[in-house]
Amino acid sequence: MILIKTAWNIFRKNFMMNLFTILQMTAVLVITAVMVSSVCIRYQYYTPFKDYFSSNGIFMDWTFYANSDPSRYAFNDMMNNEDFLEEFPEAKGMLSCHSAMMYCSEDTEKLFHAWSYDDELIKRFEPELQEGRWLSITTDPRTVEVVVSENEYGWEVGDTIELAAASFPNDMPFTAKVVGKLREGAKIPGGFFLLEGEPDFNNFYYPYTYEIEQQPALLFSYTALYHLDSGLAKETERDVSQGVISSAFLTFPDDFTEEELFAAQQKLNQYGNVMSFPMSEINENSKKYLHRELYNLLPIIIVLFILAAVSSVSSSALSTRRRLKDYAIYYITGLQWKHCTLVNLIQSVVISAISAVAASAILFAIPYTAYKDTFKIIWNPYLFAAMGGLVLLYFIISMMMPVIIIGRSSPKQILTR
Amino acid sequence: MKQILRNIRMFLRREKMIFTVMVICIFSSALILNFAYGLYQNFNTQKMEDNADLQEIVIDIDDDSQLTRKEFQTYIESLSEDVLQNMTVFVAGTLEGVGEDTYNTLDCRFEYYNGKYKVMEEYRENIEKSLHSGRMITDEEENSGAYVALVSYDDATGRNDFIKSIMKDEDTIILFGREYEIIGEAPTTITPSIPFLSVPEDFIFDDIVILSFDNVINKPVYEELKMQADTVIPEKLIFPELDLPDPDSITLYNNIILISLLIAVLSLLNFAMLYHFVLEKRSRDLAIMRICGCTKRRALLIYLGECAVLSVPVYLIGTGLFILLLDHVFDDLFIYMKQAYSMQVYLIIFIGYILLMLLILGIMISRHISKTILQEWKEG
Repeated sequence: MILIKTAWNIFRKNFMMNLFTILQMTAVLVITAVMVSSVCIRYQYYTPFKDYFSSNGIFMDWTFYANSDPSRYAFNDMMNNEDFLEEFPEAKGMLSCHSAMMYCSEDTEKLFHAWSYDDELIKRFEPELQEGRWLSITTDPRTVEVVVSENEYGWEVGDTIELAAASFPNDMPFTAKVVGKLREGAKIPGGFFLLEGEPDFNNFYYPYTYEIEQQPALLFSYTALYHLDSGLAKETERDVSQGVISSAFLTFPDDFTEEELFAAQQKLNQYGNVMSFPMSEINENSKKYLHRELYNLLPIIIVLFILAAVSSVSSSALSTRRRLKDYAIYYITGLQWKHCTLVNLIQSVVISAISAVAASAILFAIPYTAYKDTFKIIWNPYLFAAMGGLVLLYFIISMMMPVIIIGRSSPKQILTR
Repeated sequence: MKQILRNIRMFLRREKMIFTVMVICIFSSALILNFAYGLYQNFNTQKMEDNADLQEIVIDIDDDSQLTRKEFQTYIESLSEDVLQNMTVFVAGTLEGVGEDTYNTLDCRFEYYNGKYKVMEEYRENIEKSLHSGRMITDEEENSGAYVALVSYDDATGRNDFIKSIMKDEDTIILFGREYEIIGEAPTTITPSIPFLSVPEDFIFDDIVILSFDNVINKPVYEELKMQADTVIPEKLIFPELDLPDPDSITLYNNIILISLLIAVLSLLNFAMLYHFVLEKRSRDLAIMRICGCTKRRALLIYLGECAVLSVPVYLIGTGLFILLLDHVFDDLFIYMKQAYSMQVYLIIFIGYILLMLLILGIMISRHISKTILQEWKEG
């Protein structure tokens, strides 16, 4: 207790110097958090489907046109997940994006594409939203939720929009409630990518930018459109087309051999508008990509640690050196000489605690400021580990410096200097 | 100078630990400052390159096809005004007789809008800044396909060998069997710059087409470029996939640019903090110096001199280590970093660091010296 009181007294006496140290440490912690978050942003697209990527299966990229030839339109408008699973009875499951052709009542000439997602996909991944929320899993055919991108129709969160799904034999009008709006450039599952180069988890997504696409994106739940379809199908004979398009996973049991997997890929090739890759290849490329990203940023992280170490050494050495005479006086009044190092350590704990709280406050506040799009903070174990590592580094140095400085002198030497 | 060195020796003897920490501080500042600059330049360049990629489309010409000037002209003229409005065109084809081990393509750069051909604006500005003699091709000459040429000129060697080989006289070259009037000389490519329409209709462009736009290329524009190419000149142009912006990468680059600035600033502050302690510890020394007749100005110069004598060699060693790391480590990881440096840049960073450090310390020392001798004695 006496040590804590002594440390607190010393802390108060050197308030300005300690404040400077706190500010410096806070800055280093915030910078480290921003840096780690920048790296982790890459992982946030891999982690939601990590188990799929590391499973035994095939990653598929379906396009509208066979061999990318616009004259060979091959949209699988009759094939949904169940149809594929019938084709591949040995498969465990399928997770996919679907496409539905739609137009809105305000512009009946313009047909645009909408994507619908399986429930599991909706649960696992939420794209970056400018406002509102992501889709929920509902089977109420009266309320179809939609997430939209920037658009020329003025659709905002809370609006109810009238749409018509292009279907056979007649189009199916329905209303949808806008529950969320995508951030410009947000990555959505699926999209229009043609797989190029070494495929990895990035190929599962597509960055949707209205400025480039010049048409809005409409994202639905597959189940919601299906139930809409089946609800009305009781009264009419209509059928909303939600064929599998762009990204899809087809998983097989663990004992499915490589030869069987290859045979499955060969079978998929007959459709002519799909590129398929074994999941193992995607997973390996994904890990290589992530490691490369981390490796490229490693020097920056090392420099940050050097900066933190030098700051810690300077402030710790200064703090101890300044207070040597005080420690000598405390020794005379009964404190053990070696306990002075603990006084310094307790002071460091106080400084670290204040810095950590200040840094956390700043990091929590960032999403509510004008910098929310510039700095994205991702709270995960890596961030806490990096910040914890810095604090630990500071503690270690704070313990070492006093031991070195105090250990080399005796109270008599200090008082008679 | 003797006084400065003596003071440093005494400081080293009395405060070995603080002296060591100060040296480490300066050394790390040198590394961090140089690294921060390189980091800033690397990611800034990366950002600019990525943005530039979104505004241009580089189209390969199919090796097996023969894209003639006439066919390419038909393609360009088939595009809508919306597409042509902000578009500049670069097209290149091999020019016979130049030689294979040198730049041997004929480059044509132009804009086409409202039914008229004109010189690419940026190209015109660049040439006019560096003209050795004469003038640039005019828009009228570009539109009419006049037989005029801008030839390459180097201050050391004059006109290049290829130009000399096709010169009829000082003011005329023979190209494609036609006489082209030399209207200007500038440091351009080996092959002459001539109006696009003056190139023979059957000339084969076999190298590359680059279409550049003022804004980010959107899908409708891209689709139209592709569709018209498939309609007018089928199977001649190989379009790449449309480049899409990656906001996550841009966020990362912005973060790193800001981080590089912050760590540069923080590295400077450490030294200032340490020196503040040194000043406090030497208050009595200062009082003695002033009693013995040292003026405030002289004391300031002595202290600043000590900082400079201590900092400069340590900083230079730190910079030397950074240069080694740049060559062997950073160059592989940050592709644009090395090109950002030159002796001039190192010197500017060094002078900037020294000046800033002296300024901050100068203010600190001035405030310290401004106390009375008695106050300084008591503090010491």
